[in-house]
Amino acid sequence: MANKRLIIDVISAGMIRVASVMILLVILGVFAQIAFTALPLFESPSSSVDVLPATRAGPAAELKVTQDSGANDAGSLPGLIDDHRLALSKIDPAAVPEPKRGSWLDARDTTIEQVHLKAENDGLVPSVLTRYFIPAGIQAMSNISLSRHFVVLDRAGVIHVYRLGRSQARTTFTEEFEVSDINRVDWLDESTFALYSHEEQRLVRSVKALTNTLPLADLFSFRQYEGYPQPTLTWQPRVVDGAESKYSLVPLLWGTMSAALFSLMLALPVAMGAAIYVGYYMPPVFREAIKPMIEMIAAFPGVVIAGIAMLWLAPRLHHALAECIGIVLTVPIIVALSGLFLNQYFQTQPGSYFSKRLPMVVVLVLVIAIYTGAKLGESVEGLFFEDSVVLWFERYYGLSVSYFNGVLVGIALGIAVFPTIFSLAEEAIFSTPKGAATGSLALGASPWQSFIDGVLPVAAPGIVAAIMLGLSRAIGETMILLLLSGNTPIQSSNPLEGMRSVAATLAIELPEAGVDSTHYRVLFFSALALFALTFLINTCAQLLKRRWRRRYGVVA
Amino acid sequence: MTSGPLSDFHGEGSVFAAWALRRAGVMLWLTSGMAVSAIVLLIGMLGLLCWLAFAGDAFGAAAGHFPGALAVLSQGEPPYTAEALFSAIVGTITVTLLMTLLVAPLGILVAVYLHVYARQHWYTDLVRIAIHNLAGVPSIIYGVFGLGFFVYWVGGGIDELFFSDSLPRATFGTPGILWAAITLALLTLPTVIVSIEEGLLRLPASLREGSFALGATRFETVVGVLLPATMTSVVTGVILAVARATGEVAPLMLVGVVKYAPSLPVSIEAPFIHLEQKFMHLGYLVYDLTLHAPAGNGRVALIAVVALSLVLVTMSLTTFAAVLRGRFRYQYAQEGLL
Amino acid sequence: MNHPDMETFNAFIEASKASKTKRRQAPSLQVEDVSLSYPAEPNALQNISLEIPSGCVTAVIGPSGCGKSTLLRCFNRMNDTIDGCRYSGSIFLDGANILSDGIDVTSLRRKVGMVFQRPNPFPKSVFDNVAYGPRLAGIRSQRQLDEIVENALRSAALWDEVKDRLDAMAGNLSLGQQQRLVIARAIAVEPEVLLLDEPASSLDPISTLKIEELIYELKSDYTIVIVTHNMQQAGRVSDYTAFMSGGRLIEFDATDRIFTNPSERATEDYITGRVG
Ligand SMILES: Nc1ncnc2c1ncn2[C@@H]1O[C@H](COP(=O)(O)OP(=O)(O)O)[C@@H](O)[C@H]1O
Ligand SMILES: [Mg+2]
Repeated sequence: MANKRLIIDVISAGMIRVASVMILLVILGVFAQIAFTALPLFESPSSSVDVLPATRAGPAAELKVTQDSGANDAGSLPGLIDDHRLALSKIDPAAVPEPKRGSWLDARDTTIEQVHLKAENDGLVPSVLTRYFIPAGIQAMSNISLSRHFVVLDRAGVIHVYRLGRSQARTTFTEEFEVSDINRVDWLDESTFALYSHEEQRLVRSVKALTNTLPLADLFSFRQYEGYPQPTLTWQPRVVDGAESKYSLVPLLWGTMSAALFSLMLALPVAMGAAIYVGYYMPPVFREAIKPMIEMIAAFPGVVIAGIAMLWLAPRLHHALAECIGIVLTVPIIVALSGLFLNQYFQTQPGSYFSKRLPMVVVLVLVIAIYTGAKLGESVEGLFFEDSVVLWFERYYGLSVSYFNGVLVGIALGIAVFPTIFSLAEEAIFSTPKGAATGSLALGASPWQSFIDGVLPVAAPGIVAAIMLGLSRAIGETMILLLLSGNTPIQSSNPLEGMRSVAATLAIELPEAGVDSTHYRVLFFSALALFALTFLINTCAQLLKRRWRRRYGVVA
Repeated sequence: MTSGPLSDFHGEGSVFAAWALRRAGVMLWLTSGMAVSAIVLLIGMLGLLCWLAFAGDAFGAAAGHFPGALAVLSQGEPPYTAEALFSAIVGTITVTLLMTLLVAPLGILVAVYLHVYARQHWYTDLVRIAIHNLAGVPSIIYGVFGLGFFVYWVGGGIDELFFSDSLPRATFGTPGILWAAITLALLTLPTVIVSIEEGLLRLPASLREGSFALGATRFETVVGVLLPATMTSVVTGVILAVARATGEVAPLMLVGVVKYAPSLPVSIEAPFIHLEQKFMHLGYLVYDLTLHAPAGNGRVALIAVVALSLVLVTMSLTTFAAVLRGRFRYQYAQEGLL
Repeated sequence: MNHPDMETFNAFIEASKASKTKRRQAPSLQVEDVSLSYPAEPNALQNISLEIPSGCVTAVIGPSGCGKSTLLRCFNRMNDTIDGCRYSGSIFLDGANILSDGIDVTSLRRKVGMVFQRPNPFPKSVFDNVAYGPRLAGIRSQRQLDEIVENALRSAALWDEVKDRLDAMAGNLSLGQQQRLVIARAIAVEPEVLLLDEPASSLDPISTLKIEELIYELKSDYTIVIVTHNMQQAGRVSDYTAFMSGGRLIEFDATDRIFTNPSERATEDYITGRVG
């Protein structure tokens, strides 16, 4: 009997251990998996050249297709413009041989020049983007692959694999064959190219080279792109085949951070005020009813907040911007002034600072203040801004305003992060031992002074942790950004323009990115960055909270 | 006005003291105003949704109220039909149920492991911090992981092993309801673990010792005493997980939700559930309707009705969890165990 | 598997099973050179040796934190459940070393019952609390369980008070009743040694008195070791007394002698209230 029980115990212990450790590994493996998908992006390409036997390169007929692909049919690869120029983007057929826009490779004996038509004051100017030197002279050169690589075989028999826009070859290697035989190099698919002798209709070599890699610097530094007047930070993954992909994460990170900051600017004051009121001023009996009620705001999923904001708020916000600014500026002043002059009439007894009637009165004051603020904003707009702040700024300062903008995102995202900040900050304030505050009150300080001196220093780490967790929530929110930000990857500190966040980009682009393509990996890398960022913020918040708990022995 | 030696004490005669009192009123009123506005915001958003759903004159044209929503559905422009709405409801329920079936046992397992079986070392502490953190990791990250790991890697592997004859058409190597449920389970697992572990921590250590002292093994102690005693925290954790999962849309967009699914993921004939199918979801429906539905009178009302039902479900679940938790504390205080 | 200690121990278990009628002499406990360390407290017990006679009540007294509970928890190896707890030495239960590795601690704990300072009933009904142990042993028949529960509750002098509310949650009983319930729960698995760790310290005087009476009743069937803070209690209920201080055993003797004529100065100081 006892033996059976012991055996069951040992077996179950083993199973629980193994299963839990596996589950924990999977949870923690989220990070690892994302990292392992993303990081091959930066692998050195030279390490993975794989020379295949000729037989595996496919029938010669297949090779013919690429040879004849012209510049003209829409959607296909760019092709030859003339005997030494290779189009990189779609070229107006009527304009050949003098293209009016686009870019091309100009190959002459020992140099290949990548030329693009650059927008300047007086129209388009051809300008050299990159020079590729092949000292031994060009024997044969391939077309451009979908991932914008091309291969050059020089007269000395060395094969160079270039990525467009980089003068240094990604891979250079030598193979043993009769160079003069070979007169064609062509891509078979995204990463395989073949060398073959045209006269004999014979395939000489086919080579697989890693092409879905990218230097880390490309994601963060300024780069000169085709047709752009100067180097830029741009996010624009390949829209059509053969077009240049622009993978700068900076605009996305900028969009993410600015949306988060806008939301915190709105949510933080309200959340902190409410937390102080509920956690410090309110007696625990009322707190127990009010706190869960305010936390109910968390029951609104992001997508619902975004839906309301898009359908109801967005059309109104554009017209009511002045009123909003008026409200934001006026309401705190009016409430503060009424506190200054009216508070004494609502004190139930001298020294007491909580009154059940107060919130009712405050509602009344709020309504009056909001009305006044809106009216004030409206009349100021009418008097000084020709009836529309937005149009006025547009007219005289060239400020651009979009329908989906930072203010809209800030409001919606602010509502989404409000419960997080409120709930945690309130907990920190409430569970702070009130001894110091009571002592301070007993010495004749005002309740607010006692809060500042007795509660705030103790609760501060908890409050900071609350703000950090709110920030991390704002960084990761997807649906609100997806619906309200306009998803324009521009980088601007103007709160009236749109933005594009990392999370929204993942939701839009990842389902369409081909598995293990450069785009897929860049997206995984951005997910990794997002993960690392939020994980870092959360860890700091956790550690702060732990230290705080340990130091003050409070349970929260 | 007296101006005796006590006047300062009463704070009347002294302008200074009066100012201090008044200044205290400023912050009191300001903070109270913030708290009040939070409640106003909550009521306002609920009211707005109700108004849009049942009474609204949303775009100034004909009434966009609830009958209007029904009209949109009956006009039947796919995918905005009554069947689609039904499909979205079924899809939401199915994926949530599947998730619950996964997350409850896994959550119990890990929490029991951490609390009872694992040695209390620095690395269990580390794991605990990590789990608390993962509860705050953006949901889209779990979607990315689900797509890369479950859909492409595990699903692709299953396809190669078991469905190789139907390749290259993917069976499991493509987003589907199983992967969505697993992703949601992973997403909510930290919440459940934290809730159950907190429940276990709240049990007095003497309970465990009492069982051991009677010669019970660890397994018997867990199954016979600890889990029954903390059942409420298990239920609370799972309810919170469900409440969180019903509102999540972003990860689902990567691992299986679609705008329109021609067939339901469940059926009345065997095998009853089609784990590889794509499905519709109410949250996604809100997104899709907001972004893509043709503007019409009933559209806003339809969105509001769906959104309102989502919010109400989440609210009632959260309230239920809170009530349960209160009960739990009360019960234990009653039994002198707390 | 044929560890000598284990064989003796198994023989002991078999013997105690065979004598269901309980007229067997309760076993003695022989402690030899036991030392124990916690990670935070390296000298929790230092070289303790004593012999706890069979069928008697032995009291362990000493200042708070001197290792009384720790020593008690060695007798049923409850210290095994604490991470990082190390011990050495041997304790013989009727000749079998229960500190050796091969011992099945769950069988040991069924023979050596324990009652803690604060009553710790499970959040189950009164009946389920008492039936918990027998059920673990595989007893499923309701009739048998009824009988065991009734007997245990009677032995713990609780039957008359709870016989009408066996289905009530145990937490609804008074603290004194809860403590006797916990004793009944321990008795229900038919132990031969009972360890009581300050069983009355959280109870009111009347409940304390009841517990003391109960100990007196149980003495004939069990070897009882009781830790107590209360000198009068030790004097009233025990036959032998061990005095500990700072993890060491200072003195061990018949209770009469300890209280009237202690041989150690420290013991006298403690008993007369000059220290602790
Ligand atoms: N679980 C434990 N972990 C670490 N140290 C412990 C533990 N239990 C007791 N101790 C330490 O061992 C010493 C003896 O404790 P204990 O046996 O409980 O004393 P007593 O019961 O005589 O008051 C004390 O210093 C205490 O701090
Ligand atoms: Mg003790």
